[in-house]
Amino acid sequence: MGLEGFLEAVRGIVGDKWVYTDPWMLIGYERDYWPLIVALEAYKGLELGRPAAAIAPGSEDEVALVVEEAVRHGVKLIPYSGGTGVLGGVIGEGEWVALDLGRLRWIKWHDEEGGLVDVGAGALLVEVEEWLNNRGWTLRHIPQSYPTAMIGGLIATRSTGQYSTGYGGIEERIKGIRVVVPGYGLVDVRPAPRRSLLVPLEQLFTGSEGLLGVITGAYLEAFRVPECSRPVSWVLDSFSEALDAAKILVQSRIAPELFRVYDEMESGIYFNSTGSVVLGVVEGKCSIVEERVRVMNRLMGEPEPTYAEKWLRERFNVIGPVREAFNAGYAFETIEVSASWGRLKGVYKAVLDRASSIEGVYVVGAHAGHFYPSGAALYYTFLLDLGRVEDVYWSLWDNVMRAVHEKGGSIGHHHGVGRVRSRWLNLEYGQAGSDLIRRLKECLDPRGILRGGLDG
Amino acid sequence: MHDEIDPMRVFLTCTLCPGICISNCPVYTILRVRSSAPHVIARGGLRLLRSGDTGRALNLYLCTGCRGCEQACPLGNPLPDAIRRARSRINKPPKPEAKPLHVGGMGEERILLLSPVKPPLRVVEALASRGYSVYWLDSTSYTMAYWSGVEGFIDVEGFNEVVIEDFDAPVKGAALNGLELIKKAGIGLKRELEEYILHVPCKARGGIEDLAVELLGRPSRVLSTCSGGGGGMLHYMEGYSVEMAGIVAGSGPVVTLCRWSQLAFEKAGLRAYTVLDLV
Repeated sequence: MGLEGFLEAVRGIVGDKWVYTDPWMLIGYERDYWPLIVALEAYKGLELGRPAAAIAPGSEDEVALVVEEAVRHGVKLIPYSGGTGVLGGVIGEGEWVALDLGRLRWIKWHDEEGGLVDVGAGALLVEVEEWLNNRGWTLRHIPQSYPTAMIGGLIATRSTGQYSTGYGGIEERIKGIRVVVPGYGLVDVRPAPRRSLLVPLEQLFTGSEGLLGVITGAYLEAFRVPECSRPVSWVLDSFSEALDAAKILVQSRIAPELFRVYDEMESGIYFNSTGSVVLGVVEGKCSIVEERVRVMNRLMGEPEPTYAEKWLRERFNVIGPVREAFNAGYAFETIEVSASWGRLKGVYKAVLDRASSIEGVYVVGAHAGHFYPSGAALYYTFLLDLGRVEDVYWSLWDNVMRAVHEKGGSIGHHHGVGRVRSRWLNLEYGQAGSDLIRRLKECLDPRGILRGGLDG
Repeated sequence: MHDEIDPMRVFLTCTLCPGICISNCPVYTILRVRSSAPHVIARGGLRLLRSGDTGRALNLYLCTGCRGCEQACPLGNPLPDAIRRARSRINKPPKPEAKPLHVGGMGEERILLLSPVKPPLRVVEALASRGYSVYWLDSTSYTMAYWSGVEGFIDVEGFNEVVIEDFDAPVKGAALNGLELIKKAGIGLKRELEEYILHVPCKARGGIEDLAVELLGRPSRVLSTCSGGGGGMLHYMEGYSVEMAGIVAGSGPVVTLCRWSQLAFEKAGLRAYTVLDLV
């Protein structure tokens, strides 16, 4: 029993060299991209805790055996893939072992005719997309973490991407899943276009953040690379007006596949524009794209294509603005929420009002980047006074979560829960709903091997 | 060459990034060892500079210095330079002091052979018979003190220019790569390898591949991937270097333009040659 016995057993499964215990090998598992911790480490010299060890299995069978040993020895495991999460979901408490899924990196066809690709949890999204592109296919799942994220983490956090309005979130790409569940071994949910067979297991684990099982691979549905891909952008007088226009486009099913609407503040900062910048990428058969753009221009007015082109050029440059903020003495935070159309503007305003009232918090602005017939997601960016970031951080979150809930919105859209949102889960699901999730966790992982519990 | 590298500032910038360069890092993409991801190496470097914590900084040796991260970085953050400078703070066992060893020839033009192993006698003889005075130095890390007055040097690789740029030292005379020298000196190469993989290292400069094919014959495939031989990785992280070499090459024989890669390929159980071996 215990860590030593576990590591000895695991060395026999994965081999010595894939069990890391040296401090320099563990430094990469100390955190993800949680902005609070990034700031504290960089500017306040915070010494992070680290896992007691990290294990990098080379196959799904090895993952299953490692999990079995963890159950036997009572060792807590935290699955780790790309490390691009922004809510600290990989940071453990007490003694834990990181389970690095990076070596599960296969990419192969399950059914080429159907565009169904079989990918390992450790495949980098960028590798999968390039592999598909070389064969005329695409996932069109392009989050800002695209260059860095791995498939397992994207599924575990129920990620979405920049093209979500046209192609949906990752959950819509998942047609089957493979997952190791404590006490059950490897569960292979084979892909199907759709099924009606009690609980859809592939969706049960999507978004479960490593609490219910270790996702080892998935069967993802790809699209044919579109014939035409056309950037578009416009400027409307106000964010409110732009959201109204977006609603019409989305509900009439002609909205751009990639679609973003910026409020006046972000339009000014990012595009040096007054009013509300609206941009997108319209994709599909060229003749249809042209017709859609013509209809959109009629509604939106004179196009301003340079905004879309600028955004496409700079969209993965996270580090530029972040470094600029830190150099000016600010940490940053982003919070994404959603609301139905009838409540969206109320949520938008309530969050701005509440956040602006907190001393040490400066609202950069917001944009809507994921649209649905029933509503949209709002993505806020805040700057926090670096000198007192620890004091204002939780106050910001508490105010935003409560403001969203009070105005009828949903408190999380695509970043997940991690170590931050769990304390407000009751707002979203109610006590009964939260208890049900905890019960589900206890049922599938009674010893709390995977990430401990909901609260870390 | 970046004149004013402040390793602390470079590392700090990297730690603020989620690692958008990682798919450009050959070590990380091939090995998938998280410690080798550039932004993770930077975190080790930050700890080292802040507190002298070498225990969390040994991953600085998991960098081959290929500059893939720097090229992918929107800010062009010169991480490889910062890594190289920070390594001097790690108390690794020092290499023996290197001095160029005169290994043959009395000609006017001096040639410095860079190679971790002593160059084959027939190479030295071939160069000496063509009027060169030949010296051998076993590590690029200690070479710059000896450059002055050297007319040319070869390390059988294609990236001498990068070496010069990196070290910013006064180099007199032209830099030659092994293939250019062999062509210039009119030295023949064995072409008995029916099937071979041509390994053109990650930092090789343009045109070297064509010259190799001209001198060696057409390979079955060209491998442009970093093999993990460079940047001291083979010396300090041999296990990972060899693992990487085995993965990228698969099976031999390999003709590599990098002597360090050759050692890694051989340790991975492959038949591997450099151009000098084929003289």
